[in-house]
Amino acid sequence: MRAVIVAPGYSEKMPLLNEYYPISMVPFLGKPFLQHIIESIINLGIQKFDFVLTHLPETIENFFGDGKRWGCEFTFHLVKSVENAYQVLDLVDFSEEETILLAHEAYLPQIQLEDTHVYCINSQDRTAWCGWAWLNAEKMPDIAKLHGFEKIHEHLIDIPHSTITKYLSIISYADLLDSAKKVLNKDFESLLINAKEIEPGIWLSRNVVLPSSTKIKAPAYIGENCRFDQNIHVNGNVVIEEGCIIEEKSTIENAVVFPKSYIGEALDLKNVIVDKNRLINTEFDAEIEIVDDFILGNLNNNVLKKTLLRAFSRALALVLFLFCVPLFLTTILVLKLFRKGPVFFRNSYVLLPTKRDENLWQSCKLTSFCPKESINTLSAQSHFFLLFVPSLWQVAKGKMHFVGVPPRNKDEVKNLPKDWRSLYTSSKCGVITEQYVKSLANTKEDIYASEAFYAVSAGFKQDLRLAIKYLGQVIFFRK
Amino acid sequence: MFTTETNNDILLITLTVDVLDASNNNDFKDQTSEVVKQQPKVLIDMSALTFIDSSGLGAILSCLRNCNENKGKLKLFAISKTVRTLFELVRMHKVFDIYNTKEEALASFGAK
Repeated sequence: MRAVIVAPGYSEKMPLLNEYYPISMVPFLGKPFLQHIIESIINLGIQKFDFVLTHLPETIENFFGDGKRWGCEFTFHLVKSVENAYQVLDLVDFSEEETILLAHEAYLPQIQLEDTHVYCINSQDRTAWCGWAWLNAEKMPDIAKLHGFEKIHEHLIDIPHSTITKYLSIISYADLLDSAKKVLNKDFESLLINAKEIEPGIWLSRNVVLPSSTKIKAPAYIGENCRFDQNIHVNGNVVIEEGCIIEEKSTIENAVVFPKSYIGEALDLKNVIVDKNRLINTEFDAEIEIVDDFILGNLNNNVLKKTLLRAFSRALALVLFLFCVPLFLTTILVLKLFRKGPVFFRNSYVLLPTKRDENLWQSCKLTSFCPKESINTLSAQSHFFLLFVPSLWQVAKGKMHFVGVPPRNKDEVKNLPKDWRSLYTSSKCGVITEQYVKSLANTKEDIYASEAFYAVSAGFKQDLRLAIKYLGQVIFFRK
Repeated sequence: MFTTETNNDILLITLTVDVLDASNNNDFKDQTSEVVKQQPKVLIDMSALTFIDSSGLGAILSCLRNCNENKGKLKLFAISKTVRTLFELVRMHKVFDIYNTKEEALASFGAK
């Protein structure tokens, strides 16, 4: 037997979280939801898995690896988009298999071993296929030709159906909260919770700091390494995942708090999902990113290392700028005397890294001696005098970095394709860019490749490598 | 840098270098721009490649553009783990059709 888990990772109903998680990797009582799916399928005796992935596949592949940890064999297939997800079924060799379990990442129904069977759920007063079915391997090429859930379901109409009541779903924020509630209230017993039930309906993991003033009403689950301050009320149907810090006098009810989240003082959280600085209210279907770290924050960042590097970079820029003041003034004088046209160019740019919400983008102005369209065609020496030296002041102010992606204004960032924008906004702006140092062409492909590559590989070593190469080009020559 | 063979009407490019970076990306661009004009269906065997940088990524993207301009299709298969992770991180899997094996890639062209 073999299982095919279709996990394209997108959910239209969870846009904010979906930016950071493929939906199957959403934390659910101590594990990604997909791990619960895999473990429940393993319990049915299946050891061979195929995964069909699209959105952020690296998070899934890196987490699950080759499956040996579960004594199984995992194969990952990449598809360009959700629409292509089922096409893979025509490419995989199922000749050795008789029965295939077709599963979908957003649902976990409680099922048994069958020959052929299709599982439906009642959702919003109608019965719909949940993406799970036991099928003959011969059916796979036919399904591969179909697009969309409903078409596939129509094709499976001659197979025995059943509507199941015991299932978990993470297709929307409300479903996620509801599913957590089902497990906490023991309405879905087959899920294994890795914590000790210290009182009926209260699960506590290891290494939790819980003062005596904390009041916990069942049901509640508290993940490992959580720290609670004084006078916190946990008022039932609450999941707090590992590594969270809850400050004093906060009240939490009917909520899920994702790993490594910081919850500030005296907050009243009800019917919400908190993921670090992201707050989702399921009652009003509203999602926001909080800017102030003292309200909701991320405990995952290596704050000290980043702060030290930032301070060092700013101090170095200030020293360099002071050292280069004579050069700066001489450049202005020479340009005033010999250049036809303006000497100064002021360009607005979005401060990076920034949030997903455009309303939270902050802009800044960069003054240089060259139009930004000509930057990549400048010789290294011109680049140094016309862009690098005047930008040092911005670096010293902490508004820019030595190395990074090229600065862009709000409209330019808005017009980037979605994935490009997502990588760009997670990176940092710099004077020295990968594209310039590596003399890449000014084509869309090369610009995307250089920015995307920098965005995912940036770090102290990468920055140092590019800075040294740039310095070499300034002192010697640039191809 | 690579070898080519034609299987039915599919051009199979097999990379023979283990690194695609600033040192050889222009050669790759120039050489592939010629060969992809000959066949509309192109497969690249990436199994030998163990490292790729931004210039290498740009070169493969430009090969795809050449192929698309020729109304052809370019697909990749057998990408090593390191390169595959980078491809996924920079979202290249949403631009290219990527397959695990040569058989799957050929099957996607309808040549089982």
